Amino acid sequence: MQYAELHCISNFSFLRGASHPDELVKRAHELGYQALAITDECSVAGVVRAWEARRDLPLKLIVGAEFYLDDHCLVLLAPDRQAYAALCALISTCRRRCEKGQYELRWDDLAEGVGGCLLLFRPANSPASDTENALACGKRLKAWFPQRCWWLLERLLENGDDGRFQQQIRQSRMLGIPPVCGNDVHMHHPDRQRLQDVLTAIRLRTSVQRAGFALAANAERHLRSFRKLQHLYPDELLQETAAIAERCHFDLSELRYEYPAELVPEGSSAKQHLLGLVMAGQKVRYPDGTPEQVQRQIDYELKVIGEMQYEHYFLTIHDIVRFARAQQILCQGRGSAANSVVCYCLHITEVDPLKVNLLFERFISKERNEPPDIDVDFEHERREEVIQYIYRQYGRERAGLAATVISYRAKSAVRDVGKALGMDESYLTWLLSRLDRRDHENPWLAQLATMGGDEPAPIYQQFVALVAEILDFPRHLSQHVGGFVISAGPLSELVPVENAAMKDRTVIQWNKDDLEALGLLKVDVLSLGMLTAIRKTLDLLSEQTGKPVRLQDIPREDPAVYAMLSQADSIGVFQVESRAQMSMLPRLKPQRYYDLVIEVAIVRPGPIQGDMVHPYLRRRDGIEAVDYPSEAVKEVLERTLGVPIFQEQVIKLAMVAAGFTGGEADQLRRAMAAWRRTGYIRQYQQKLVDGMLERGYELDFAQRICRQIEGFGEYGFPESHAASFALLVYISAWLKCHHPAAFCCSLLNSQPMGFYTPAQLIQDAQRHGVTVLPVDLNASGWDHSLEPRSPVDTLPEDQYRSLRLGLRLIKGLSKRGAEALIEARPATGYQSVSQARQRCRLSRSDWDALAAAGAMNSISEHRYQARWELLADTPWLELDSDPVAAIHDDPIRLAAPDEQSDLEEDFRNTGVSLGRHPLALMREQGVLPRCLKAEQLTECRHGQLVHVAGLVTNRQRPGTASGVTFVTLEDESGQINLVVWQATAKAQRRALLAANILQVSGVLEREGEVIHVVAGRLQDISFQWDALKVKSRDFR
Amino acid sequence: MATETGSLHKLLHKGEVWRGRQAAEQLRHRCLSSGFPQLDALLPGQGWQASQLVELLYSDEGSGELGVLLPLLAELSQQERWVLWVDPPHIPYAPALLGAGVNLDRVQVVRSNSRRDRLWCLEQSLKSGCCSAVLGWLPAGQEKAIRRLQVAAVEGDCRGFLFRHSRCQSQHSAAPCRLLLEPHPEGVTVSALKRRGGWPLPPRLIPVSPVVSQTAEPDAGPARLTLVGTST
Amino acid sequence: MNRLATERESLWLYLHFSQLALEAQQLEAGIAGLLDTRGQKLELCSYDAVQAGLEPGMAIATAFSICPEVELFHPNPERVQQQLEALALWAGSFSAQVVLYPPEGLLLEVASMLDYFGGLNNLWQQMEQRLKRLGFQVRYATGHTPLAARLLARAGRSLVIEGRASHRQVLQMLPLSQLELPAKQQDQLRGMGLLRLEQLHALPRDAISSRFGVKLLDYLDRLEGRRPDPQVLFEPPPIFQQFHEFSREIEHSLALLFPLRRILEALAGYLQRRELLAQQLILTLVERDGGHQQHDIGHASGSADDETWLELCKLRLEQVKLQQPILALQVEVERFKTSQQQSYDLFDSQRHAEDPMDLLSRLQVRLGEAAVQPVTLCADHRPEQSWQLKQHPQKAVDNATMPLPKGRPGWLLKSPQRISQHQLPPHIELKTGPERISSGWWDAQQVRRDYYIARWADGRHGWLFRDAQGGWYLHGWFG
Repeated sequence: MQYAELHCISNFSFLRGASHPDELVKRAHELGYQALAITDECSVAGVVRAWEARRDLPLKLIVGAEFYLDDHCLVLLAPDRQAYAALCALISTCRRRCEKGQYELRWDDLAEGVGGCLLLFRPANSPASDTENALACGKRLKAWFPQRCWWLLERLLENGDDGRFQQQIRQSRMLGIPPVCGNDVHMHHPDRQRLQDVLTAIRLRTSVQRAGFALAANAERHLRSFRKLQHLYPDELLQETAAIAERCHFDLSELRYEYPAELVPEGSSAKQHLLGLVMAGQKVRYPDGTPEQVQRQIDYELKVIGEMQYEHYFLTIHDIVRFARAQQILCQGRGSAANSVVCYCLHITEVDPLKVNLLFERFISKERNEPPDIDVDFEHERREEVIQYIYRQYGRERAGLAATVISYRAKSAVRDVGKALGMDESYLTWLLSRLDRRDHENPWLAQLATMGGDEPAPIYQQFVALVAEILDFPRHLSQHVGGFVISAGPLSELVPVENAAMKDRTVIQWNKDDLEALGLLKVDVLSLGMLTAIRKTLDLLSEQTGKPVRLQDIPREDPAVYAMLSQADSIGVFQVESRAQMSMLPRLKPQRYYDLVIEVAIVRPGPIQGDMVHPYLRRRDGIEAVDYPSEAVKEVLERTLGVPIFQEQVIKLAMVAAGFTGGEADQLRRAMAAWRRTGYIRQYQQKLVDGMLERGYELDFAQRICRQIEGFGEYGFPESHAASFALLVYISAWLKCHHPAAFCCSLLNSQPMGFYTPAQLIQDAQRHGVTVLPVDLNASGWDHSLEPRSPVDTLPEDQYRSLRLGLRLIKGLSKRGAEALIEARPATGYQSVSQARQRCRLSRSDWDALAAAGAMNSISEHRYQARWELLADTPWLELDSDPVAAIHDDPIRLAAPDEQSDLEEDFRNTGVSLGRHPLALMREQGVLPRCLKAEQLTECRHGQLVHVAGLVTNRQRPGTASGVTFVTLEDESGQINLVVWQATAKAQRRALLAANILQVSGVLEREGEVIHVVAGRLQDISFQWDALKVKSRDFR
Repeated sequence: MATETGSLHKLLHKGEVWRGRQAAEQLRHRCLSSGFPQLDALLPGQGWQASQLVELLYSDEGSGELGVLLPLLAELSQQERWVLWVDPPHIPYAPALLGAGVNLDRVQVVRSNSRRDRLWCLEQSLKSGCCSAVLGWLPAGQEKAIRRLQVAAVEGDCRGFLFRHSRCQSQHSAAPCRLLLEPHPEGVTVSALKRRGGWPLPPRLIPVSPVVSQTAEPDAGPARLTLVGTST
Repeated sequence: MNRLATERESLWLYLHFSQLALEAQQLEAGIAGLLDTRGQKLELCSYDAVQAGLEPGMAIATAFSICPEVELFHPNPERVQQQLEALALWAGSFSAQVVLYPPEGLLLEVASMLDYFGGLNNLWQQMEQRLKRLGFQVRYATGHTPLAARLLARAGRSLVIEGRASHRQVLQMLPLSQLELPAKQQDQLRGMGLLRLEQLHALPRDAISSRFGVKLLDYLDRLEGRRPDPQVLFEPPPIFQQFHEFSREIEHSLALLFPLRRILEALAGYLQRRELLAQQLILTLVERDGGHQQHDIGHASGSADDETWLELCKLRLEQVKLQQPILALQVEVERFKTSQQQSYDLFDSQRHAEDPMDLLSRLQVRLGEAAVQPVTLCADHRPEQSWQLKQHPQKAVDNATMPLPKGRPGWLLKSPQRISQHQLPPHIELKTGPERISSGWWDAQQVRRDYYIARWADGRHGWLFRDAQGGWYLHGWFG
């Protein structure tokens, strides 16, 4: 028997379909179907996955989509490329009409016949009075789809099903539209009925108990066996499905995608043009002439690019980067593109590939036949300019962002499934609060199962099973952060385009994996805050020195920079400012650029979990001998002292030590990226171990490599990526080292970004000798700025400026208001509140914000007085009257705020205080007996019992050290790093979780330069601060 | 329904309908069409009379005893008053009632504890004036009670329907209207054993079969009825 | 509005039940918290909860991780209002002029009661004793104006004094944050370092009104008695009826005494205020399945004393063995006696014969509550679940918009009837079907059946199904 299921939705019809596309494909194959159409509702988002699953199966995959129009169901199938293009265009049209997630089909859309698509028509299941309507529609569709229209009959054994079946056959005969059968498939197997019901309940925001007739009456919307099909449908109907499938030839592999051609000048070929650009770039990159080795590499790369016909791709990216550079927008390629000299010469990347041990094959390889992946970072505040350039240059029709499929994860699954089963929301919150998703020993699903008690209620068991089942189910499409697809023709003929939640953005229906699977090229336009900060620092320096300071003017390999980093003095520096990185810096003691590459890559969950850090450090310090099991392995691992740290090394190892082919190694790489989700990696691990044993490696070595691979699953870092980042680490460190004021100023002007709050950045700058001046309506600009220092200061010449906080720091002050204030500012500054109010008409909230921030203190003594004067009902004077005459002295003088109130208001209204640290105040009041300051800890010995106190600035539980909470305290002299073991945390949960100010008794531990306090007793002393306040107010 | 009564008035106006001795009395009561012309023809006044007790006799449930009443109940349940079911033998099934247009907000089901309670309940409801229809199921041998119930129905301006076994047909009854129901492949046949204002009439076929709509379709061929395995 | 005696220096007492929103729902003391309206954070914490380390503002997850056994309640403003009104009734024992300040305050005029109680201290002593028995947390203060009493009480001053001058003196130190001013104005005052009332007093009135508006001055004048501040008095209802729904099920009858005590205290206040005695009290317990237990408790000569009534109730409840957990209780008094010994019954009159609901109640009185019920439709594919006798708010559906299954029989059998093999075809002719119904996996009544309409040899039509095991059952008749 021949059968093709022509009406089947997957879970990419969000919250409707109850099976993954690959499950449907596999099941259809098992049942012996000839073909399967994936017809998601106004979408082709799931077809690539189905297509991949089908790759090795003798099952034909038909691409289609279903639509609902006036309750009629219309299924369109694409028989060929042209029809497919029309289908995509139709979906785009329907989607673009509506907000994100919705669509609207109109009858007119079908009048042209949708480019040869086949149409299956299933009229609305409504009372007999609508028969005429069904007939009218059928007639119309038959005319629009001549010889391509079928009457779709579906027997789902529902109420009134058999009567309707007869009626439909009669109607189709009346119109002469051939009937065909289908099964409105929602799931690959009837066992999914439970999940299907749950999805329905979620979609309707109700519970299965209350969903009633919105649920399907039975589980018949599945892929049915031949036996059942034959029971239900006459042979002719079944044969017709096969006949229709026979007419469909389109395969997704036909999609060839052409890059825009307009970048090539008339009369030149893409190849010639690219060669010309590379040669021009060489002259800049290698002003003294290209070394022969480099020239050979360039020739080789160009040859491969030519063979793969990727010229247009490189030209496109070059064009984007060229635009950015012309606009003075800093950008840098990251990812595997850094392996390419061509990219270096085109200024797509900044790392000279020859300085690092990089592999061009990692970037493009003929064997892999996979598109290169170029990610370019732009300044985060100006990326939008680049995106809008792309839309402008190529048009909305030809440029779109890749989608990101948002899928069910632990939290959303527990919440949605629980609600769908009628569970109380606060109960679900409670369950979630008790799940430890970082516990690798006991996965959270297992934990969830045990929370139902020893004899869980049946509904609880179903809950756990359904949570497991719904994981990874897509919920909706979102936009990828910056993955652009740009095409030569209308994009909507390649893949449907829909509206994103963000205005003025369009996304395509495929995500980055789908694009990769189809071999389509995309360019990632990403944003990086540090680039913004660097560019702003360079601008400040240029302004200061009077001549342009460029990136390339920064001297390389400056020992002062490495000395600073080795001290873990890295607040504000790119990538290495986190607590984990900070504790690694003094151990690694980077001396050169490549050390930074390793530093960036090594402090990652991957290497830490794979136990690579300690061996590397031991070997580096000469404590442990460096040996290699074989010469081949040595070649791969030598640059990292025999410890695999980069993703590339693992892949290479699989090839040289376990005999993986290039293709297999590449599959391993993909499996590594997704192992936690799919678990596929296990099969590769076995193969890896077997392969290594076969080649005479020891089991121990093989297993270690396996563990490391598993670790890489969680954000393993490719070397090329680390190399790009390391460059930014060096540059930002250099700026911090030599121009702390300018660097801090730029970081502040680039917020939000980085790891630290403005207050922490400012404190750090102050510790480095920078004078920071308060925000002041007479001195501040919108941005933070540098001011010449007073002559009495005797700091080095290049640090001769102090940092003036800008008006942007003031919470609640509008930018427009600030600009108006600056605009109207007299050369001598505002003299009084009433004068300021006469010259400049700001909104009440802007004035309030200025007063609250203390920005008016220079004209009004203090905040209280400023507010009092602002509220005075001063009549507006005509502009030409004499302002001085209008200034009358307000006789009332309010008392000034005390230091503590000032401090609180500073924090509340600007997030930053230049006054004394709260802990200094508390210490002075004597409420912190015996507590040491952060700076005093360096004088303590290992194992000493210490008492400390500080503001809690950070609490984190890194995934690598399960059970340990890292807390950062801050006092007037610096940071104190706390380590809280699980047992301690459990016993003193409240203090740990709720305290703003924490007093801790614990044991000091030191490892080299790294000092932390292992917490013993935790005490929430936040109340002391309030007590201080009451005290100071009531006893004056 | 409205057109049915409208046409009834027309007929009466033309004088084409036989009017008996009590025609004047009948006209005082409104009649409501049963929804079946065949049945209306059997009923004096061309429909169900107000303030009247009707006995429906049949041997087993499934003999069209609900089918003939549902259109009336649908109509009555639009009024403010109750439609009361006293001790029905099975569950009056809400989807079917609703499907027939009955407004469930007016329907109440009463379960009595004993025969005495049941009669008390029927009488109270019939005469309360709060019910548009009272449906009751009575065993054999309640002749005296039936008389009281008829009086109550008049007092409360209520339509009463007593469902009884067909073997009670030989017993005397005070109900002014007695109908015998018998199943038939196409529906149910109704014979009027007794009717006020008319002679007994021969049985009539009332099409109340649940599968009528199916068989009436021409050109469909024999219905394909197969047992479908419960597996996949 | 009510005019108040002006000769005597006025004196008010304000009671602020700070935890009422929680206590109104809590059955007995314990670790409990009230959630905010979004159900995400704690709004209030019971005393025990604070001891256990919880505090208002905490997120649910944090609260649970600190104290997993905490009992959480969603806000129930209706319940709180009921409780406040009950307290107003209770307060009738102490003052004839009670003002409701929802959601949690009561204002009592006490100046006119001082003679009756023999001075403020006596009055307060008695009241404090009674308050303790009620078990509500309360803040209180007197004031020479309503506003003064209210603000001082809310500020937690626990003040019982007389005299305008002494009150004014206390007010000087009142934090301005206690004034019920718009949030914006509060911010402004705080933002100028103006924290206490005395600081405002130190400023010229015109400087204040030009900055903060005349309203603030008006407010201050009402607070200090420079302007009249008329109050709307609480008027007790003509009958006494208190309904108390429990937040969890009660399994032992004596556990009802705690909530009952509060109600009876209210009753005492009610009776005292209206100068009545209660002769019969109707205690209704609502059971889990919706049934009711009613206990009529009489007192031949009538009593206004809560202790007496509590004792009577206790005696009765000791005899009650609960078959089912209790969800709610109601106390109702319809028969009163005035102090002049005149018996009367509020509902002694003839019933209105034509009210349809009366018929149903009459039937229910004779046959039992459950004997008369409406038929409702439920949205559920399972035939036995798609109807219901009782109105069930959760599953009630809008009949107008719901798609109705077609071809359903008028009669549904109470339970499906097995059909033996020899009755099956050809004796029974299947006419339509199968209609497959497979649903209800989420509760214990999952159904997997194929339904058919079939004709019996005698011409009747039945509704039957075959289950997953292949057995045949009759489920209904097309009557």
